[in-house]
Amino acid sequence: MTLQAYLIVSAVLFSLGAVMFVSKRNTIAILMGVELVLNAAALNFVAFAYFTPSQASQLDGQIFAIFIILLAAAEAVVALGIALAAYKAYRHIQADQLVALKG
Amino acid sequence: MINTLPYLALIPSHLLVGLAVLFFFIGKAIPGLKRFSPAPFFFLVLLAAFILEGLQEGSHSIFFEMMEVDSFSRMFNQIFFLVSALILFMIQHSGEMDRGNDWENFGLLSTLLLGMMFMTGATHLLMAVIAIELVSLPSYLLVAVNRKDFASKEASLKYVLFGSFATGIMLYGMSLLFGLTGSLVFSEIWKGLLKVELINSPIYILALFMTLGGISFKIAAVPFHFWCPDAYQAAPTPITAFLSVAPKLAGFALLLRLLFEHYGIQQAGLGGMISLIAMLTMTVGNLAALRQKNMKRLMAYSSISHAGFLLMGVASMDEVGRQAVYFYIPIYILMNLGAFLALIYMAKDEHFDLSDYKGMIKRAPVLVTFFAICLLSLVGVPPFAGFIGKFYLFKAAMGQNLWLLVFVGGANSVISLVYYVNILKIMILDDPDQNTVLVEHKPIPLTLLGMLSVPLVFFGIYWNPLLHWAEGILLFR
Repeated sequence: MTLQAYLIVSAVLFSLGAVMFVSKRNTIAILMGVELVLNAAALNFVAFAYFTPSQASQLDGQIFAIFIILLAAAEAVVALGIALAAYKAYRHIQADQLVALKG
Repeated sequence: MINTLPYLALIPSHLLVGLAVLFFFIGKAIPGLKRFSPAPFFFLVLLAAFILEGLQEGSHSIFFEMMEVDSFSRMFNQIFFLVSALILFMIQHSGEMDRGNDWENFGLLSTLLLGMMFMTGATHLLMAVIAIELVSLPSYLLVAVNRKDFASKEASLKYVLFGSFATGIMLYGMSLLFGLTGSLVFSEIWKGLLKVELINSPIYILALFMTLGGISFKIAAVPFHFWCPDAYQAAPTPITAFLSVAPKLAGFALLLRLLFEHYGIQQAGLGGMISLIAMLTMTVGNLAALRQKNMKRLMAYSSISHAGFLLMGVASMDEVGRQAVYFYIPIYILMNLGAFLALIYMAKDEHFDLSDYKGMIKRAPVLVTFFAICLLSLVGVPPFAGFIGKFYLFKAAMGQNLWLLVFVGGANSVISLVYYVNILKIMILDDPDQNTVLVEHKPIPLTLLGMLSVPLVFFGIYWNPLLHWAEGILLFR
């Protein structure tokens, strides 16, 4: 496997996540798209760190990837909590029907 | 021998961690503790942290080059403590937050404050990401705690979705920067870019634009500004005031430090890129503000356009531009917080429709006078401090021959005059009707509002002390 292969996979992941973010209507599906984008970034970091490690600090990329995983978990907790609160208020979480605020 | 001095610089952050632990965990663990108000604890810690920041001097790199403690970070931190103390006061005088959950609310505020302190000091991409998340996550939750406005849940949901997507884009950009240069330290990244001669290649532009995206989400710059009006309108007004000032300025602090070492490759057009974002930001903010009927939403668009003006100072990418940004910051805080304090004071059933303010000056002449000072300063009309602040920003942009930016900025100042003066027209020239807000006389908020708006007149006439203060702030010094 070459670095290019990893980069192509992560680019595909990123695009899929971005497409999900703009096209899905359900909040949970949108969040799944965001997770794909985050994982694309983490994959990039690990691939770069493996193929072109920096001399000064060789574990930079891997550590960053671990932090991205933690961050994705923290973000999911907060986002799902807010989605739950929104569901209690509106009885649905269809993002395209939440239109009380506009202008 | 380990030098312990730099670690003393972290005591303010330790104090805030302690505060968050107290509010989230100890408050739950010890029964009966929650009967006390958290406000005094919060205020005392803010005071102690403010004094401790003032005692230090010099510049130290700590945590293996992840953070830098210098006069720049100390200045921003002190400003954040002052702003938080004011917000604490606003929360006490506003009925929009659920005071039963005060301990959790203040816990969220103290973690937010901690994140902003990390943002001003970060010199490493990982630290920057952690700081941005530490600011973002409590902001999402604080927007949702408005018990008077049903729509706050919707605004918060939109905020968290945009926010996490912006974080994802920023992380992807950072991974590309890491791949290009093999380093995560800001200064090493710029040096690495010079070495590999990738300047102006498409991948470099893409990586930089994506990285700046996450930060421009924090400062609500185009194209990541969509969350801003919704979140500002539906959040409790004290939280709106806080979000429109503190995290925005923390974003600017991070941006300034990230671009500090960029001198060597300025010709790469990064200045042009940022001035393009600045022009778009102020134009979009101002044009959208023209047709707003809700005061809080209007203030949100006005704060977007002000982020555009502040980006003017960043776009010039030199010491003059940075000084202009530092100079504008206290003025921006005074006028924005003053305007929001007046809004809290004039709130009627927590609706903020413009039509409710007809002929307000007959009901509350002093209050409307102070509010008018804040608004005219936001426009940038000469006798007020906003004019001097904008003058220095324009001067910095002219110094770098960014004439298009200067022209667009000037045109936007004129556009902004229209909607600010429209508010004043409604308040002063129209006759009051049965919808007009009835203001009960409260001396303490009025005094505080005076303390925020009178300096705007003072600094507009005699701004030397402020200029002298701004000259004392230097990155890595």
